[in-house]
Amino acid sequence: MLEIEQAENEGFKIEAIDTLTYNDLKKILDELPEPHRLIFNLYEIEGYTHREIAEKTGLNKSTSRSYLARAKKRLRILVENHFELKNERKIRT
Amino acid sequence: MKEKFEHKLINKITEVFDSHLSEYNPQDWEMLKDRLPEKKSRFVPLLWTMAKAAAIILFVTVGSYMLWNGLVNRQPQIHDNKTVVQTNQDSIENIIKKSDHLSDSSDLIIQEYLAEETLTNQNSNKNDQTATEKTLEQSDQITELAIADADQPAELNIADLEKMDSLILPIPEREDIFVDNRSQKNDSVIEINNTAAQYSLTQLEIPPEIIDNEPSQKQKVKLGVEFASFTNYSPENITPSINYGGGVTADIPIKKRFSFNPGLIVSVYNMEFSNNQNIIDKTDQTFSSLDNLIESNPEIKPSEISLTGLDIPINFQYQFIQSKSSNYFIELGFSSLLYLSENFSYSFATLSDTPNPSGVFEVEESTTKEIATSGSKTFDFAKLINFSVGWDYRLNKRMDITINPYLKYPVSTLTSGDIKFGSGGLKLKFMLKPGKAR
Repeated sequence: MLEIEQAENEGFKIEAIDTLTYNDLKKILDELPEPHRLIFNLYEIEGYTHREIAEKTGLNKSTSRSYLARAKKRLRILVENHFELKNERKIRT
Repeated sequence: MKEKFEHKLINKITEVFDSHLSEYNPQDWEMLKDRLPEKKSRFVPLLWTMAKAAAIILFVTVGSYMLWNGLVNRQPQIHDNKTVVQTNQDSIENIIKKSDHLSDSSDLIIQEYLAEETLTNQNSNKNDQTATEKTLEQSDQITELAIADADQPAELNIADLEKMDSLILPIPEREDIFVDNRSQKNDSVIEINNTAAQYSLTQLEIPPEIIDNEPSQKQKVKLGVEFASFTNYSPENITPSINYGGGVTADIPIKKRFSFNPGLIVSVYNMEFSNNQNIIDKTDQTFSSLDNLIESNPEIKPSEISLTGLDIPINFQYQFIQSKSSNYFIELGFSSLLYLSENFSYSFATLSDTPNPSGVFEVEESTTKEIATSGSKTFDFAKLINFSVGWDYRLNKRMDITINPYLKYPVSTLTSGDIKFGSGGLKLKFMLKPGKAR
């Protein structure tokens, strides 16, 4: 587990996020599945709680949590892809 | 690393989308204009707004004026009734007449006295007697007047009596005139005073044993500090751990054996849930829109909770055994909790977004940490029932020490994470009676 994290650190520089533009981010977010994007927006951008999201969308809180976790995971991959670091990481691992 | 990435990415998204302004497109505006409702004249709404403002100002002005007038010209309630006013005026006139008559009679007494002042000291006793007789006559007259006025309404009689009191008051001034007999009169006054004092003492006499016992029987409010060590329990299988709390408490006596015990306790809760169910959702790959996403995943329970809560207990205590040095009691009440901080960790499993080369979706473990926002603190009102038994030992006249095991039972779910948990532990209280020790 530690090795994987180390490999991730080597393959991707967090500072690179600062260089992302509006269009880059829009493109990345558009690639998320609709429900994941919705939950991500509501929770992380708009600041709703899982209880409030559950009330608004009719999903239960567990689903909201699992979608958020999935959205974050997916975003990480998409950002990495965007910087074309995925191949480099694979090579290193 | 993962958390840092997420934090940075989310901040970047928020920053970029907040500062982004879409380019102006005139066609968009034309399209939007068609959708907008027809433009109405602003004159009528403006008039309406002005009318409302004027009405409010008028209302406030008139109201203030009337209120001010009402306060300034406030008259006794009796003046509202015209008949009563007339009756009063009549009675006041009668009283003035009577007072004139009485003042005349007292003038006569003074004149007579001054005329007789030249007589010898032997005659002074006679003068006294005459004066006393006159005074008695005068008081008889007053009594007659009072009886005569008995036919009038009760209020008027009270008013008349008040007037009569004012008429009687000048009489003691005559004592100044009887300079020669002052010593005798003073003696008699002292005697009367002594008798009155003895009488009042006899009336107010309190048995000495009651006076001695009074301070001990008088129950005082006690203030104190409380320390608690407890463990939590829950239907969600909590791994037992010891938590702590501390705060202030009070003991307010209601009756001899009953007292009311409010408090303010800061408690720290750290709970770890064992055997928590991991969720594997299978519907994710099939959704096409939000409408068909309504699924029935079992509720994910947190794997760890860290809370700081302000416990506000309100308990009623009954002392079933009371002795000189110690008491035994039971307490029953409820607690409300205001959470100062709430941190939850959730662990669950989901299927991977994409299948592996062999076409199988892999199970991925996820752990999320949630911190309740500081802006909206959760308050659980009366959601815990308190029960405890205890022993109260008197260290000295001012200080008690109390040890009581307790149990808090949850009546519903608590915190923003909707977790049902209770607690049980031991409380140690130091109670102090404020004020001077007797």
